[in-house]
Amino acid sequence: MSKAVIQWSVVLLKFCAVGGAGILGFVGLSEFVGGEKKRVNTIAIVIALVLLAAAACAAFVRLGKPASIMSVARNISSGTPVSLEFLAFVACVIVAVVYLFVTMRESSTKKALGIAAMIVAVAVGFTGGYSHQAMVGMTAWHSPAVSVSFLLSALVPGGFIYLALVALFGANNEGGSEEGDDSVDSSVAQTVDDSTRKMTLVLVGLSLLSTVALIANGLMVPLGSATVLYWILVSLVGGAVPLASAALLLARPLLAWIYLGAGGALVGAFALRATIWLALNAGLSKTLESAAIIIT
Amino acid sequence: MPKRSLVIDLDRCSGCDSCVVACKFENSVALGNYWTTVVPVKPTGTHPDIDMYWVPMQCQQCENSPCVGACPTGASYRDSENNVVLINKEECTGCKSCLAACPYSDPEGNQKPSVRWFNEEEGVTEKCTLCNHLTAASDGVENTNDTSDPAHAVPPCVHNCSCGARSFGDLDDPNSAASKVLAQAETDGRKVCIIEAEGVMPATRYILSEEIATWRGLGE
Repeated sequence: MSKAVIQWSVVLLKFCAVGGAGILGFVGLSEFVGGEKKRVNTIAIVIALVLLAAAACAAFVRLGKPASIMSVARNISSGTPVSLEFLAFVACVIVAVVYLFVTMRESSTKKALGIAAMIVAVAVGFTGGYSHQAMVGMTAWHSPAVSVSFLLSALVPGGFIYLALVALFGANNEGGSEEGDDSVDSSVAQTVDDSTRKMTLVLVGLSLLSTVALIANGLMVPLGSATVLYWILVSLVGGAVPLASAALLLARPLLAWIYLGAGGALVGAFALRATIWLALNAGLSKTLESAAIIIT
Repeated sequence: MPKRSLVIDLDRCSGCDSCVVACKFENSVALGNYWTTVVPVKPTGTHPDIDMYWVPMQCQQCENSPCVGACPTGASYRDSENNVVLINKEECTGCKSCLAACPYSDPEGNQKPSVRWFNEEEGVTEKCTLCNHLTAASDGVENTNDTSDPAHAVPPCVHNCSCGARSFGDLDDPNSAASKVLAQAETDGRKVCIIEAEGVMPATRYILSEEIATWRGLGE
């Protein structure tokens, strides 16, 4: 078999999409944990939209020409895994735009939008993996563990980025941290109100599930030449580091844990989406070897 | 819906590559690419009890065709008239998703064994179409007096098979050439085999007698 080539535009597309969706999901979650977060949520949704726009640019680069983009648009109702991924992405952009306008104005529809935001975040994360899982030709992709690990690795970085924004721009830190301010950690401690603590608890849970899913994925699918990279960058840096950071954040709220967790989760999410291409070769020959069937 | 396919008698196939040449000639297949290939399944056993056979491989016309579901633009599709899985090259973006989805293809579409190939010059994926441009309205029973008769056309790989190993037609039509060959094989007690993978349900059938060789698919 030939050596697979990583399609970087696809990796970037999926990474940016889940980054934006993950942040949006935590904005939605914030509607249910109390606390005043208008400023943080506005900034978070803008960042999510920038990431979603970057994902759209990566998609345009991959498709190459306007006619192909129109073909994708025409095929969006086909119900295929890849069309579901595009549908989830489009829904995420729409929810983010509406959410931004509603957040900037006082509105009673925030909770409904919060639910919508969490749903589209899950949808973008899951369908990003499911479109890989549906590729039956690749044993390394054709596993539910791929979809689950794609989903969870999408939500964790979003959570850390959101908490970083809370720490930097939250209600108890309206001025933000000044450059070179050594007391930044203590300012973070002040922002850890009850609502933030609840979100941190959710993040600990998600990080734990994500770590388990990433390890399970690594054990279940043949990783081929991606094995070492996967276990170091995805399972360790992308799974264990964010989990430890979230747990430490719960124990002692320091900005350093948020940065560490966010960094690890982002590296892990990117590496997962890249290394999966290196695992392409692992399954094909196995498929053909086990394929001899006599029907009469 | 019709289930058009090829039935290939491996008892007859000598691995001569006539089908490969006929296919490349008819479809102007790019240099280095093959819409059909002949995979030799290595000799096994000890002399004098050695068996070996050849498996011509082309698009298996899967009933659960994963390539159609993987294509972001709908370029991989089923012909609405005769159900044949095809690629609309105008819509293909060259994303190689179908190559990853197809269990019979190389992920980059440039090495054997693979039923789909990537045409580097045009930037699109290509594969066997069962020569739908010739056979779309055919009943699969060749008119040997007029091979260009569209009502009875067969793919050139079938017409040019030097050993008469290949048959074409609708497997759901008992009067098609392919169905008749399958029925005769079953009457003769020969094995009818498929190369299944991940539940895609390939429509291509292979016939192999136990006295010629033991069916091992594509082997190791």
